[in-house]
Formats: sequence, C-alpha cells, structure tokens
Amino acid sequence: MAQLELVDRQEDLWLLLRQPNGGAGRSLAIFVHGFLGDHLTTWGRLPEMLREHAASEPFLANWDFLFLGYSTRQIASYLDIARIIATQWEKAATGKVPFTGKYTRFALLGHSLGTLGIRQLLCAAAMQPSQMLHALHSVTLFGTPLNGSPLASFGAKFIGGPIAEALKPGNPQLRMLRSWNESVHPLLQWKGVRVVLGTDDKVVGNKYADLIDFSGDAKPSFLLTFDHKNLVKPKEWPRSAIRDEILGALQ
Amino acid sequence: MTDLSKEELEARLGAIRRGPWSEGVVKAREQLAPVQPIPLSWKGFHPIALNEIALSASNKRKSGRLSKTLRPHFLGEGITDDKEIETRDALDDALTIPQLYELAVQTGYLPEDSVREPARAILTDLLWSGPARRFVEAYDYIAVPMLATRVGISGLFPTNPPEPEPSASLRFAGFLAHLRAFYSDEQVDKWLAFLDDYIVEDDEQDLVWEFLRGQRKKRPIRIVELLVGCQLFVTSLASAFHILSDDELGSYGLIHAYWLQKFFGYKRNGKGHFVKNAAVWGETDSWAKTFSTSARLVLPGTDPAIDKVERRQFIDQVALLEGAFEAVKRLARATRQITGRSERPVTIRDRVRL
Repeated sequence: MAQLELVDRQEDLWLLLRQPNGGAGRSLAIFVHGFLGDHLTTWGRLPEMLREHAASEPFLANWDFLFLGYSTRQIASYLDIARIIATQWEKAATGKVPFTGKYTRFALLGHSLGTLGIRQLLCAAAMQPSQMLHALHSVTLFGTPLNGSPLASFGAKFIGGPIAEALKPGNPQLRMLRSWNESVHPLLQWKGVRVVLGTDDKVVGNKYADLIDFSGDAKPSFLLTFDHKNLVKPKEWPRSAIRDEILGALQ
Repeated sequence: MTDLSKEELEARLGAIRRGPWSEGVVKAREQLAPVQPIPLSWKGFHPIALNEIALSASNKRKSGRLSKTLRPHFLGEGITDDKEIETRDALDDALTIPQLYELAVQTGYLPEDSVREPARAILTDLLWSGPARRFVEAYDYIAVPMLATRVGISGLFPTNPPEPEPSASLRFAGFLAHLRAFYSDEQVDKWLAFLDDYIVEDDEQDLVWEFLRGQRKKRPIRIVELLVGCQLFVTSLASAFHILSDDELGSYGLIHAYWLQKFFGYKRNGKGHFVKNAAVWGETDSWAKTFSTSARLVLPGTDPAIDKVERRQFIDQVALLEGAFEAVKRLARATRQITGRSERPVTIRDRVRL
C-alpha cells in the first residue's frame, strides 16, 4: 500500500494525511489541538508515526488523518472551535475541496481545549453536519479539562485571550457546556466518549474533584506517568500507550 | 519531476513566502536594492556568480554604504542606529525564506525544481552586494549558501548541500507550523524584544534579574507579561525541537540561533564564534538559568503540586533548548572549519571592502 500523501495548508492551519486520490468511502480521523498549541507540534511525532505505520496497522488501513488548527487568541468560545471542526467535516463528508471523495466515517480526537470544542459540537445539533452522529465512529478526549484548569487562573489576559477565561475552573462557559451536554445527550445519544487522562497531568487535574462526569463519557482511562503535554506525544510507536488508545479509537 | 499537484506546490511555497517574515522581505528588497538594475537574469538555469557582477559606480557606492549598515556587530562598537537596525532586522527576516527553502528541499517537503526560480530571485535581490553576502557568512546562515549552490548561484562561501531525505517532510511541516505561530505571537514577540534590549522602564533587565533572583521585592512593571512570554518562548521552541531528530537540531536550530544565544547568555567573539558573554553574565549565569532557578518562575498562589510540575516541565524544556543550542554551535563550528572561515576572522577590512 502506498504511503499516505501529505496535503499541507499551513495558511489555513490544517494538514491532511490521506491515501493518494483517496477519500471516497474512507474514514477520517480529525485531531484538534489544545490551548496555544498548533495543529502539528502539539501531537509531537504522532503524524509522522501514523504516516509510517498506517499501512501496516490493519485498524488504520482505511483511515486518513486530518490535523486541524486554530489561533487560540482568536477563539472566543468553544463554539468557535466546534464550527471549525464542523466546516471541515462537512467538506469531507461531501467530498469538497480539498477532499477528493466523500468520507463516510469519522473519529474525533482532541487534546485539552480542543476536547471542549469537540464536546460543544456534539451538543450543538444545529451546527452539526448532516448525519454527523450517524457517521461518528468514536470520540477520544486526551487531557480534557472536565472541570477547567487551575492554571488558567493566572496571567489569563496575557496568555490566551478570551478563551483563557473559559478554561478557569467552574467558569460560566464550561458550566453551560456541561448543562447543555446533560440536556442533549439523552436525545442525541452519541457514541461513548473515551476520556484519556495522564496520572501526572496537573494542568487539568486528576483528583476526584477534577473528575466531573459528563453524560456519555466512558470511565476515564489513566496513562501512567503521562503529563498534560506528553499525553499526546508518543515517543515510539510499537510499545506506546498512546498508540493503543488511538487504535482503540479507530478499530 | 514531482508528484505534487500544482495546488499543493503553490500552497507549500506560499506558506514559506507569506509568513510573518514577509514584511521584512519587502523592506529588505527595498532597502538593499541596487541603485541601477543589476545586469543579470535569475530566470533559467545558467550559473550566476554574485561575486563577479560588474557593479556600476552608483551601485558600488550603495555597496559601500551597505558595508557600514551590515557590518558584523561583534567587530568594534555595537549597532545602535535605528535605521541600521531596521535594515539589518529586515534582512534577517528576509533570509528566513531561503533558509526555509533549503530545509524544505533537504526534507523532501518541496522538490528542488520548485524552488529554483523563487530562490534565484530572492538570493540575487538580497545578495548582489558583498556586504550582504558577508552578513550571511558572519551570522552563520549556513542554509543560504547551500541553497545558492543548489540553484546554481556562487559567490557565497562554498558548501555542499545534502541530498534530500524525503521521509523528513512532516518534520519540516511541523517546524514551519511552529515558526509561523512563534513569530505571530504577541507575547513571544514582547519577550524577544526584551531579550533584544527593548525595555519600558529604566534598567528593566536588571530589575527583572534582581526580582527573579529574590533580591528585589517590588515587581517590575511587566514581570507577568515577561514570565508568560518567556514560558511561551520556551514551550514553543521545545515543541518544535521535540519533533526533530538529533541530526536535525543544528540545521533547524540555526534559524533560532540569535534568540538561543541571548537566552543562554552567549555572544559572538571577533571571529564570529559563539562564546559566553562573561562581561554580562559571568561564566554560568543566563536568562535560562535565572528563570529556571527562580522561586518566582511560577506565579504566586499556584497550587504547590502544579508549581512543581510546571517548574519541572520548564527545566526539561530549557534542557531541550540547550541541546539544540549545542547542536547549533557544533554545526556552525564545523561549517567554519570545512569552509576555512575559522582561519580567517572577519576583520575591520571586511567592513570597507566593496
């Protein structure tokens, strides 16, 4: 099988790894980075590893990978991130440029703030592309701030613009998202959300008080010794806990 | 020949051409432009010898003026004239493009054919004068002469460009994403300006140093912004260096050599080599050490557990930056030895040579 080809749109903040001339009938995994990350370095060598190993991993053979970005300081609410995801999903599902065929199955994988954008999209039915939940294969949230991040309390105005406020513990946007989630999940019933947390992640916390349930979440899995940043940066492929999580999401 | 579509090629070239450094390119092209058009065409494949261009009298005079503006700052007095600083900064920004072209070709991100024309255009526009070429040499823009050789341009120090390694294209894409974000970030920008001696209160650098060392209670005006800017600087660079192999750290790190040098308390000596800036920092101190060891690195009121993790992460990231800076120094030293430049220190005479 040919190596996945690279479609790089730095100016639009996304990169697609796809089977050459592929798309039609294939599956698309969408990766959404977190606070002040970028669409590629947030994931360390993961894009490179996926490109190298996708052909030899049976579970990955039918997947292409879209790394999606946004400028953190231009984001005011989770809805803005949700809209970016929905736009690309819509294009992929309808085979519009830059996609060369209609994707039929999708997985969403997020890190940190990106996970809140994904949660928002799950709740905001009016924003969802047609048949989105039907085509949704899985949702995996790495280092998701279930209860915000204590770190966001400091220097927020200098660090990340308005969205930094939406990362503070118990902030109004997060409370609204949670309430929205609780209201809508019984009706929309999206697939179980996989939550992956690092035991050394002090950015979003991993104590009882931090682990507020969102309806639809599966019981979190904890990766030993991973902190917030290295939770999505695999050091190697064959024996990586991150690989296992990704294969679990895409199988 | 290339397998890339026209659209893909244009997007990749555009991402390099239209980065946060674009303004510098326009300014550098304006300020370094010859008075009279240079009689050479960059189109096609014919060899271009920049050092053999016959300059008109007015272009010789312009070159003479540039020899002052673009003089190596480590020879004699520093650069303090605003106009000179502006021109030098513009050239520095503009040279990002040929450096990225070269790295893009080396990593298979762009095919060599695709950069030939734009590379020949920008190299001849910027480097027709001897002083501009010596600026490239003095400040170790190693990728620039590599690119020049690759596209048939001579007149810079001789160097052999490596064969492209196509499997590295994603690492280049990651680095490019970092670089575009790095130079677009206003907090990082404030920190870089601080490193570069732009201050907002008298003796601000001393005040910050004393505060971080616990020798001063009163907070400097911008301390929170500078703490944030420094941490974003370190995190952004560490994220970029993290994806690179050991062999790549030097060539990519050179793009950030100036800031790494400042951060680790180095300067260039009269030969242009990186040496510890002992007059300012002593033998062991630096901003890197000052921030890493400061009890005030993490803002007051932070949960002790978070404080500990943040501090550890910062120190780990600084160690990664230090490794990259070591690789930069090794590469610069090795290139100077290969090209014989270490045997010929840049001299005052170079400043006046046309």
